[in-house]
Amino acid sequence: MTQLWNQFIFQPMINALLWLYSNLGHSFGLSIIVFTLAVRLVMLPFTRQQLRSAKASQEMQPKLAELQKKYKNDKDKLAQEQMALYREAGINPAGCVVPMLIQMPVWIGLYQSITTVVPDNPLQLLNLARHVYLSFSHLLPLNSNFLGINLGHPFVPMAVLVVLTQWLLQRMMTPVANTPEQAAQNRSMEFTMPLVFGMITYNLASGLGLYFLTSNIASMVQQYFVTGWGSLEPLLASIGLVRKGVPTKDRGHGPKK
Amino acid sequence: MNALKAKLMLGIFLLVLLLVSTSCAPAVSTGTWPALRVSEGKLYVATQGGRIYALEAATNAEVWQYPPASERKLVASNSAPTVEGSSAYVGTADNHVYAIDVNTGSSRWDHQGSGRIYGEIALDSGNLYFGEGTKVCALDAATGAKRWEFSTRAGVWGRPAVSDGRVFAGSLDHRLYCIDAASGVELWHYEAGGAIASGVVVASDTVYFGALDSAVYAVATGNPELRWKFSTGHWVWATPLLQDGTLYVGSLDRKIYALDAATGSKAREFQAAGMVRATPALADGLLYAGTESGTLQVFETSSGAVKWTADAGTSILSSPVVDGGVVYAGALGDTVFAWNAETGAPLWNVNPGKRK
Repeated sequence: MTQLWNQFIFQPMINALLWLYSNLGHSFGLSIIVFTLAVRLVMLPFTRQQLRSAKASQEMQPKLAELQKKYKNDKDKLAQEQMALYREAGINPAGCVVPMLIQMPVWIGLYQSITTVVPDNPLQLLNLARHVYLSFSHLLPLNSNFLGINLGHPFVPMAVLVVLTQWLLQRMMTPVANTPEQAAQNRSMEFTMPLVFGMITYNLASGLGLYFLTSNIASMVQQYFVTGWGSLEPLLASIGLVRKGVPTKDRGHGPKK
Repeated sequence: MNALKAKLMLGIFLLVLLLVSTSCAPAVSTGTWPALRVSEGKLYVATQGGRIYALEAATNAEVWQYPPASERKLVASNSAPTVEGSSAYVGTADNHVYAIDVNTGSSRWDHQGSGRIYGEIALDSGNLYFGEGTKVCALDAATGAKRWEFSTRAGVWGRPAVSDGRVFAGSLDHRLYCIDAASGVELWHYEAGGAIASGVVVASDTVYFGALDSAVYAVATGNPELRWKFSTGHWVWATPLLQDGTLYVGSLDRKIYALDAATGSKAREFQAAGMVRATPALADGLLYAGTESGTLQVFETSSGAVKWTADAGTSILSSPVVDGGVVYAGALGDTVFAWNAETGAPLWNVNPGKRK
């Protein structure tokens, strides 16, 4: 299993990153950005399906809330009615999860590649030796300076940017809550994810933070064109960046029904 | 259903993130391996666990540990201690060079530098020469006072060599530097085709080293002139071993090459069971090589045949040492093994940091 993983995901990714490095003026930062965007482009059909499925689920929330109210004492019946509602709307309840599971190995490979390709000590260099294509060996060690930041070391402002963009993305992804339970759950998601990513970036090489940052910004753009600003809209309206109460799709953005 | 799905997604994601974070961390946070030196019946072990041990080579009984068990731990080292007279010198990944009294285990002096020290220390005419971060440094061996430092453009991980008042050191910036030993001024540099992580060896008028472009280089000591270059199938990280006009070089291509030091032509190759990261040891016509796959392999230099093989369980990434008919090797995780050098019969093994 490990061998298959290394051969088909990890090693091609590491060496693709090195290929980009050799063709992008030996800029590791630029290589991470282009690599992240390229992988996102390849994953676009899956992420689009995931986002559409999530959006459809969000739009069903009022009906689901009604069902929950109506069958609050009969869980079996509630489950049956919910499934019927999903069937009627042509939505697969696992529509979000399956694309995410397909993408997960790719994200993990991307993460591993970025952390492996800039070894900081002898054991890490030995690990890289196991995976690098020898034709790229002459590129080592990579120049990890990007815009004055050493991407091989932690960089606090990068962690702050990751937390901020992750929080904004999370707000965009969060549906408007119909019940207090949902609101609590949304709040939990909104803060947990940015903190997890922030802690990882704070402790590890900032090259990984640059990957998170690029990935977050790309996700925000994708999210905007599928679902609009989401729960970020009230915040943007309060600072005058969007008009309050006008749905995103009516301003010409987002999918048309 | 939706709430459950969201929780499930978050749970899966965080779990995977946690697994990935931990799986990508090196086996040991300092990224080093244990390294050995044997001298006058004592086996000196610089461990990943953060201490230097002196053991009775015959029995593995502990003579001393530095710092003493009651004091804070050092950061690990993968630099084999350099022993001269009554002092042992060792560099560590926490930027220190320690001079230790080999009789008592007490500190003679402690140099705090500004970069990690991964390579062995060379000693010549009362001075120590070593790589510290991206610099080559020279210290007075008696006092630890700094003589000079010379900056390169990347890490210096291998042992420098000193000859005729000149220091030769390889850097990960692909360059072999020739530095005046008295002043620390660069005399010249030679640009190799890959990063130089290995130590260098000097004999008569030639300096030998390996590089991550999979090649072994022989460069003139007087000027940056390439004498010959030999290509292997993978990175050459091991410092070459020169014996009687033959250069023995381990490669990550799982082979050890015996090359004519004068011409670079291949006399023989030895097929190992795994990547050969460290310099092999040579004694009584036998070549001892530790491998990344965890075996110690012993070859007859005359025929290339495998004499015996022993399994350490985890990678042997530092050089084995042979003394008094016994071969010693340190495996990843700090277990030290002793085998009969001729037959391979196991004599003892001990993890000095986990002794009960």
